[in-house]
Amino acid sequence: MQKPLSIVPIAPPPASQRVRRDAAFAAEGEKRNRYHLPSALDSGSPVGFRMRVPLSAAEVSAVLPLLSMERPTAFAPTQSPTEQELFEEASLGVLSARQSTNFRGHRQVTLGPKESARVAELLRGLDHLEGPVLDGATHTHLCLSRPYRTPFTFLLTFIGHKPGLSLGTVPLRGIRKTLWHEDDIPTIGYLQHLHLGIWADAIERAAVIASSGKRQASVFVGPFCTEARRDEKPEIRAELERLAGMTDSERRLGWRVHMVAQVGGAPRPIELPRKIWRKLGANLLSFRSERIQPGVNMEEKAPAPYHQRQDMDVSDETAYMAGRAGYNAFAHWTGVDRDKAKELLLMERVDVLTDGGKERLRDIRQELGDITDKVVDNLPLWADLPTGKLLSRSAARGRKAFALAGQRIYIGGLDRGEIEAAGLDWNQAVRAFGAAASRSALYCELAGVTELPADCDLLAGICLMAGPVNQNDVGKSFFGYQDLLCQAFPDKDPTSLLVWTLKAKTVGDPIGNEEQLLNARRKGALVDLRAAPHEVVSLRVEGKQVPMRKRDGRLNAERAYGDLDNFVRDPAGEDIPGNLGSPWPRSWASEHPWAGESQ
Amino acid sequence: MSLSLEFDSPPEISLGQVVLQRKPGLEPGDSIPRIQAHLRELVVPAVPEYRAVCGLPEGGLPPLYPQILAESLHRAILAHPEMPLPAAGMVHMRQSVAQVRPVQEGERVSVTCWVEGQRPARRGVEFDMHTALRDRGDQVIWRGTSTVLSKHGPGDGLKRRPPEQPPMRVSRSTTWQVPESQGRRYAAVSGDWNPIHAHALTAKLFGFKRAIAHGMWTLARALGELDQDLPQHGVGITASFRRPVFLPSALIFESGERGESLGFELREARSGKVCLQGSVAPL
Repeated sequence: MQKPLSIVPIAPPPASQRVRRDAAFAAEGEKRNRYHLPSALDSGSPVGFRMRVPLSAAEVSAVLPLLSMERPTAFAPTQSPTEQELFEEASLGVLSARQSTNFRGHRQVTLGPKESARVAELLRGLDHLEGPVLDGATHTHLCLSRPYRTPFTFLLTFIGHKPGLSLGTVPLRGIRKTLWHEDDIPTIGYLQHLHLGIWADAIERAAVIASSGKRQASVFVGPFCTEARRDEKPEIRAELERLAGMTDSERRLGWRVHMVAQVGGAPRPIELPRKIWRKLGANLLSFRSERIQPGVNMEEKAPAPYHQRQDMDVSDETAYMAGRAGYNAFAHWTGVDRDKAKELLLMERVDVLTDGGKERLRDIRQELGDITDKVVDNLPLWADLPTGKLLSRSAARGRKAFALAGQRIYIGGLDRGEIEAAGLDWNQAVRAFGAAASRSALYCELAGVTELPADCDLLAGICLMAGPVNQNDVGKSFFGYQDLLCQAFPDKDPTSLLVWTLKAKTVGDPIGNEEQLLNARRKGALVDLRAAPHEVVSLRVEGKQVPMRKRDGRLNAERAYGDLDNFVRDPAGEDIPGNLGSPWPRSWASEHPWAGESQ
Repeated sequence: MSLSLEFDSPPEISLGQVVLQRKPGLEPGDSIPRIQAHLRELVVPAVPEYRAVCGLPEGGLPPLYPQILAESLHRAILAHPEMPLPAAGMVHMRQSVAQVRPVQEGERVSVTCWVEGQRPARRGVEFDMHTALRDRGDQVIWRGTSTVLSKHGPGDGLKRRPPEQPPMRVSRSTTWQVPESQGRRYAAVSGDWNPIHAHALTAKLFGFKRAIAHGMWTLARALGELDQDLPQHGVGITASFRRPVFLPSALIFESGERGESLGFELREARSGKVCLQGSVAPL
């Protein structure tokens, strides 16, 4: 049973310390950098460059039950969704459910009511279901995922080889990664599942928000976790893959159905003014990973607002409630009770406000730096030199990803032995961990917009980081280091999975960080671009898969929840060309894709 | 002098017949005579391919499609021996449309087109090609005026600035990636296979560095983007084609309130130069 949450607002600093990003366009002749507004946006993503929307404490209290929702017990009859509702649901789900990293290894195939009934039958034939399969779904998302592979994981192929043998072991590892989807280090494999957990948690909320409280999702993760489970009942899985339109070549690339979400009428619809749903949706699309703590880890060349320390704090009460949100999510997605969830989730607080925190942080930085040095020293020269030291430069640049700054910093992880002893599937627990991390982050982000003054971008932000644990894992796997959590949990066998850095501040991160996710020419080396709907979502209509919002030569240009007008503008009110987007033709958006099908 | 051409069915005049004709051009003191072409009856067709090429959702006949319906009459006028200006090298400068009510697919209409007179431009002359669609009750349901520049006439050398526009409060702003094939795709549904639109190689023969998009495609696509912002019944559209849209192209489309009307603009993403500017208002 999940515990209800209450909002603990973050107190803004004195007016004299309030600063905003207030980014402007580069002046003529001025060299543009990450602190300037982008000159234009060309993206079909529903996100765009967005600002947070202030919510009153009452509004936040009204939406907080979404952070402790239970599974629906039945689906009530309700209308078939419109294309617009499906778009907004996807926008809050697969198209934005990410934190620090953006990874295009997820796709969604959405089925109508008739095929939803077929999926329900199939699900009933599977084991490890988290709850009863319900009749009467209006639609079903088949959620596909593949192993986590980005330019960063390509770099990892060259790490940890013996000098004399690397000419043979590097290609061998490359082949094993390609053909058998083996990971260089275990935590890279876990990233896929962390993301799936984040996505699962987002789907539950998205179904409610996109329908203004009328629908709810029943998400099944359990039968699709570890490979052993995925090998059970192959005929049922083959049928699910057929419905998802999966091809043999996609299977070879590692794509599998990893989650099924059935959406139907909420048994107890949540009645809230439409405006609150819209504000919440717009906010969810504006929340960003916040990496910069002003006055602590800003660049020297950063504008003045980033150099100013602010008298603000993430209070114990806020952190406590964020923790509660996280434990709620872990209990929800694993089925264990909350006390067990607290026991299983391993958390170490390592910020400067804790006893010995400063020294601990220094030690962690030192350790991660040493591992980076070893990685660079051990990279095979035959690969590094011909590429102009591209590999070693990329590895060294990775240090930026380990900047641990914030008023509250936690390292989180799990003990595999304890998880298995509790009768849980390891990958399911990792997914639940991802869900717990994102839900606790969402609590902080909502607190950060509660009673947000007009002269602040936000009051609190968070960055969920995998970089430090991946680097630690490189150390563990190849250079004999211990896990980051070993010191805090000496009697356990921990695997650290993520680092939380909570920040109370009023200035949003440089817009260049967001541009890395939206502009192909400025794409970050370690991330994928935010996807447009047609790239990752398709609707199955009359037996055919139709990409979402790709029609008659047009692609989506709509920014979801754009009616809230929370777009980034320069201080003079000028828009970034292309950022406002353009709503999808109304006659298309109001269509019911499965109008002719009965539930 | 007034010349009238009557047709029971759309005349079949190829683009080659129009473009390859040699014409003397206008001398000072000359004037384009009134040449009128009338098509007695036409059944408005369904145009799914046109919609697909222009990104237009379903509804009544797209507001610019009557211009395509009248294309054969325009050719008849331009190819007429009394038309002094050669069609080759003519540039479509502006377009205005008044759609009195939505035209329905399957509706029977008559089409009248005419030209008469000209105005001096900086380098050449401008003339208007008028088009009107009437329903069976002889009520005008659609009017269009294409303003065309021909360099084969006496210009006055005066540089004219476009009229000052009130600022636009932008409410839509998006990027279009227009592919190289766009000219051919539109030509296939409009019948306008002018070589400057078809391919870079054929466009080069006429002095363009690359193929250029049809002005009427950019305008139709812009109206498609405006979607529900367009007035639902009587609508007046004015647009000026300020620069050619070279293919392929990245363009920024913006629209929003401009004074009493809905303004829109299409700019090159890289240079910011305006290619198309227009406005829409209820009639």
